[in-house]
Amino acid sequence: MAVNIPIWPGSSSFSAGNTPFGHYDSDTDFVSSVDKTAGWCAKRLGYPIVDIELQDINFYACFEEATTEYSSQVNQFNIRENLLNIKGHSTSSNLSQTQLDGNLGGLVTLAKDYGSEVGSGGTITYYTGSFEAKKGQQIYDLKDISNSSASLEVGTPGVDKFEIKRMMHNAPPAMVRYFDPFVGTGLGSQQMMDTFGWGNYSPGVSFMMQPLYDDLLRLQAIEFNDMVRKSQYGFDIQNNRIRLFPIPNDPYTVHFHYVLESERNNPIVANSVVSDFSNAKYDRIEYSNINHVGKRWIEKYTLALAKEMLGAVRAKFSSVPIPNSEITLDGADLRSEASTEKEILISELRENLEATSRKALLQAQQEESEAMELTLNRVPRAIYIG
Amino acid sequence: MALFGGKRDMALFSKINKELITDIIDTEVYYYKLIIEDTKSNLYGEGKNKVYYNPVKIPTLVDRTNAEAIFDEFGTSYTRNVNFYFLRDTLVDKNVYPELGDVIEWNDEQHIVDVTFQNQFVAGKNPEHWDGGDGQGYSVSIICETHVAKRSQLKLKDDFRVGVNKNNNDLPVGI
Repeated sequence: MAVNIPIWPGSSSFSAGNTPFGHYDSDTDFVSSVDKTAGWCAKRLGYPIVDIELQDINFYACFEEATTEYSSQVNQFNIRENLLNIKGHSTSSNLSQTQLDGNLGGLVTLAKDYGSEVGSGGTITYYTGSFEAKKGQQIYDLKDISNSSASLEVGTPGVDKFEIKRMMHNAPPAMVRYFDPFVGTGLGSQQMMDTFGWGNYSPGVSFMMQPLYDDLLRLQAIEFNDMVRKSQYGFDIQNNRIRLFPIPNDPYTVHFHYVLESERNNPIVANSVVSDFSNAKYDRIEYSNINHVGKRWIEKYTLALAKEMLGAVRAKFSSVPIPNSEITLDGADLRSEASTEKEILISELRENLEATSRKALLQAQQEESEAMELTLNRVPRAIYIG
Repeated sequence: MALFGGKRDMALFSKINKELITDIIDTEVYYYKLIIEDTKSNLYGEGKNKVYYNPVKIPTLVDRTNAEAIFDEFGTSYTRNVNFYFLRDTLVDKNVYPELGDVIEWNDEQHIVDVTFQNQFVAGKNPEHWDGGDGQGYSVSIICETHVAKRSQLKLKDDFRVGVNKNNNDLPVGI
């Protein structure tokens, strides 16, 4: 005689440890609901008219899985919604069912790389370096110390790759030559001012009342003159070679700012913080903290899982022998129905979550506002007669 | 050990069979077990007054043929072959061991068992006789092939009863 494997007897009594994972075994709300849900599922599957070839632990497993699935779906949505804002946040605090604001931290972190490139903020240090410009030498190879006598604040020339971000090799400001009689333009009183030792002072010391645009035009004229008629200060950087303009007449030190490529290429911002989908700290949601809408979804999903499980039991063998014949059970139908029901429930939940995204809510609010405005526009306006 | 046909699978078959035959189809017969030891035979080896245990009600599947008329020197009568397909587990539960000569009453007819056999094994294994042990396979049914008996012949009913029904607590040999 076949061994007696008990099936659903009509009722159950849950105790801790009866679920596969035990995630919610200490949740009193879960414990009080699990037996009721098991009984409901069994009745929805046809008990007591027909036997249900499942045990209480099967229903408990379905209920636990449904709760976890609900929690997972909600958390997946929240991670997608908030990942940019929580990147860099500590992984120690659970963010499930926590209100988060749409801060700009994530955007600023992304923008810092742009700032680094242009020397405005950023995360890469601009170091100071220099090399010695020699009389008559126009080209300098910064990798070759014997050639350039390059000196770096951090790193070793010829060893560490670096990129010059700014060269301090410019013509004197036009302002200081405002009064230079040899500059080709300007006010032409520099010699007089120098005589008194005021040559480097601002044009204000000339005590001449001039409109500001006159100063600007004059300074611009000095710079254009240098550019067109003279050998302008400047430089070219190609690969490791720097070409100075004009060819130095005297030795001097050229300073520059640079970044180490090893630092710029380092993509690591921080460790042990939220970095991606996998460690965004959204833990399981406690069953007791789920509202009625969520609990109803869990019940329906539990039923779908139980139906799928029952289908699997009944469909293990394509036919069951009975005396002198054989029958086919409804396992395949049950699995098919369950699969469809699960798919619908998941889709429905995702649609609801998407409808409550920050973007969707703002759009809805905007549409509501516009609709309200249109409605109010149709209200007759009384003519006020004072 | 085979991957399929283990005890748990067979338990499922047993439950589904019991549900189907007992709760859903629910065709019951009265099974009269013959007591050979108490049945006296005459000079010709005939047991004119057969002794049976009290009947046991057993759910089963029935397959019967059409009645065939008989016209002979004893008058007009009919005969009919009927097969009863019992779930073996149910017979074990009821403590009944079908044998030749037993009587099955159904549809106001008495049927004498001509032959019994069990040859419906899941996964081709009879757990009682398989060398690998009783953890595999399942014997589904016991089939009783019968023919309809004349009521006066058996005398099971009170109106022409002359036989004796023995207390059901006295188990027949072989169970």
